Amino acid sequence: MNCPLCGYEFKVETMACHDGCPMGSRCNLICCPNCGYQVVDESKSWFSNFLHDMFPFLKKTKPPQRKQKRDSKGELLIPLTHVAVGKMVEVSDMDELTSHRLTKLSVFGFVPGSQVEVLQHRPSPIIRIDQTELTLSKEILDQIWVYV
Amino acid sequence: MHHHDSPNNIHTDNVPVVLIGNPNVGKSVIFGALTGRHVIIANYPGTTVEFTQGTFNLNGKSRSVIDTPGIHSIVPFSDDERVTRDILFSNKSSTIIQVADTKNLRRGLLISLELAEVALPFILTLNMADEAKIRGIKVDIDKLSSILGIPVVSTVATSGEGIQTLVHAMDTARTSTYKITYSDEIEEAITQLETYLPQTTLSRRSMALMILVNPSDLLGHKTFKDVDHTAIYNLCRDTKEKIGHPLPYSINRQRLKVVDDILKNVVQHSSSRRFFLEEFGYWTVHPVAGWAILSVMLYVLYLFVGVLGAGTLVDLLEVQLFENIVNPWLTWGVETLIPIKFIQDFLVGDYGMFTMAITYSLAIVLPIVGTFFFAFSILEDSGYLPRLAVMLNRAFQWIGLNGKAVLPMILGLGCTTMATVTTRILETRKERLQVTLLLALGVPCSAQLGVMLGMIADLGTTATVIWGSVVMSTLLAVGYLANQVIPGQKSDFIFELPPMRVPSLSNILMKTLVRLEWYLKEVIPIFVLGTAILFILDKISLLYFIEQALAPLITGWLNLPIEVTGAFLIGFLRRDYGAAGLFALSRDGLMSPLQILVSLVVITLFMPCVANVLMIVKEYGVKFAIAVAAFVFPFAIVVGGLLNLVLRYFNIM
Repeated sequence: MNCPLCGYEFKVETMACHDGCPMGSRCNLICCPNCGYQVVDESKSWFSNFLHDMFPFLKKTKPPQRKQKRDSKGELLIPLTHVAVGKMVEVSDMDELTSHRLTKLSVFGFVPGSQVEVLQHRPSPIIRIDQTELTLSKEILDQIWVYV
Repeated sequence: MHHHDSPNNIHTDNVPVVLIGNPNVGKSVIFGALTGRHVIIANYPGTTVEFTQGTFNLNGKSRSVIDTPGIHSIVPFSDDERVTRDILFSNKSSTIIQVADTKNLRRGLLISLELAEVALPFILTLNMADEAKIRGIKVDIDKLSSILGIPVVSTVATSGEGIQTLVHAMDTARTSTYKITYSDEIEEAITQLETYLPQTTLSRRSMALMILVNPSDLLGHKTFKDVDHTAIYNLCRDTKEKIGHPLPYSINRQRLKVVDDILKNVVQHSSSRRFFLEEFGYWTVHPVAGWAILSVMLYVLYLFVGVLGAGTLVDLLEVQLFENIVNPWLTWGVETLIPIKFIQDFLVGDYGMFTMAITYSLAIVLPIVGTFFFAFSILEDSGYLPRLAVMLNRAFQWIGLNGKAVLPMILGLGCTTMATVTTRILETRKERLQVTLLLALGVPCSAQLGVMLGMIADLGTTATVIWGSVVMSTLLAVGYLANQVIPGQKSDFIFELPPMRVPSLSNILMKTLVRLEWYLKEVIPIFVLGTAILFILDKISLLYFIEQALAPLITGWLNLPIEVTGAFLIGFLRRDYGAAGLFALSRDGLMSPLQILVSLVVITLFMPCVANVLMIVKEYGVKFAIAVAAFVFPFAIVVGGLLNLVLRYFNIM
């Protein structure tokens, strides 16, 4: 990104302060390495995410750096955390999950090829598969890839 | 308290019918419809979850039927699921009724396929046909029956629809002709495994598949003592490496593919209407509306239990009935009939059986727990409680638990002792210990909560808020610390939400009555015992010495009247009994509002009751129980004293 104050160009990912600093995991500010100006990182703010989830019309632009990947056939995949509420999607890839989680989800009929609907993201995600409603942690949702 | 019966030696004079199915599909309702509630309850050894046995009439002959805990698969991954598998193992040629939820046939068929592999005769019952109809789901029963090669019956168990058909179909149960062919790697492994396995009631193929899914579980069963464990483990490992995925997952995946093919042939979806309860279910977990609903629910609960139960009803029973009519009469009767002062005091004195034990239990605690049990049964049956797990997951994650731990904590509001048993639904030992500690520390049981709600009702909002926030923040702080101290790991948060339902009045009344019966049978003897102990302590003047000895703590540090000592002493037996003692003191005007508040906080955080301590010993051993007690008791006194100092310093109340 470019610093809005001095215009210095830098990559957020390469900055050590988020990993090196003990407060880093919760820090939602980006400091320009050149002039020290603090830019607000909305995507890391709990409050901003909460507001955006509550009032979708507040979203001016799509948050940057959304996770996505392509499967072997070149189809675009996104994790379930990025799927909009109420949208029905097909599960493509669950390989990142631990075997314990895979097994647990499979007994609920949750496997690649299943059609799932995200009912809500907050306060805890709820997804529906067939007529089963499951609540699970965001962390697990993030490891389940679906077709866009 | 618990009967250790194994299914081998339960009383059976014929081949039992076993009800099997996913959780929440109405097995118990079908069980009730078949048996008319003539139920023997047995605790299965080593597990919390009990299977229930009863009898029903089949063509003029009595036949026994077993209700089992809900499962996701015949292969157990937790203790409660093991019950069902063991029943299958132990009952020779039993008839199985698989109960499935019609609207969720996909998961039901996953079990049907396993039952087909097991090769025991079974019937498939598609229950909740009415709910499926509302959702526009239509199942072609004849077609499904011919595909699986077994009788399929449609029922609405709650209204009794189809139960007769089910009874008539019972004798036609057959082993399914359906056979799945798995991928080559798995088929190869099955063939090899079959050569190792002994003859049992279940087919070799199904046992081979069970082993592939969870080898350590099945091989741990006594039937497989003599088989070559090493060879089997190696085979499982090699197969897993060949496939590149965990075996249970790939087997389930292949089964689901078959299930989806069957479903395409037998299920038709038409437009469904979303009905009010489903909609309401979403609102209860909404990030904003959910909290509003929770607050309204708590407020209504408070009105019902705190104001109606602890206020109006207690007033009616304790003041109008007992203090004005029953006790004066009894006192008069005892004094005229029995001239001995000692026995008079024992029956109707300050610590008398009638004037204290019976009055406390029948006039103070009974109306309160009665209203609480009623309200709690409604919440339980409606499906609201699991939704709290969604709302509170974040808060629980902060203390190293997840939303699943909400359930034992909420159940603790019913009875902390039973909730300690239900901590078994948590997956790791660390989580179980943590929740057990929190339950023992600060979750008041129904009786105690009810009594306290009654006292708080007189104190006003400020005191309620202070009490609530002190208890909550203590629980959070201790939970947070326990998370750092207790070693172990946390588990995944994957949790099924049952649909919201309108509870049936008859079911709620039945539950309330059963719980009240339990209360009368188990609790009153303890009240009587506690009163007897106090009476004896008082008679030999030991109570006076204890009061004097504890005076620096009670009147000094906590700044409470000395009479409170007695209430705290019996609080060791049951916290609600202690609370009832405080309740009586506060009604008599012996405590200022501030003192009531401090005593409430102390009794909330006080030692868990004797039954709970024994349960902790049974579940987690003496060492942990002592550790809990050694922490909780002084901690309660410290927090109470600090609260007293803070409130006085800032001149609040």
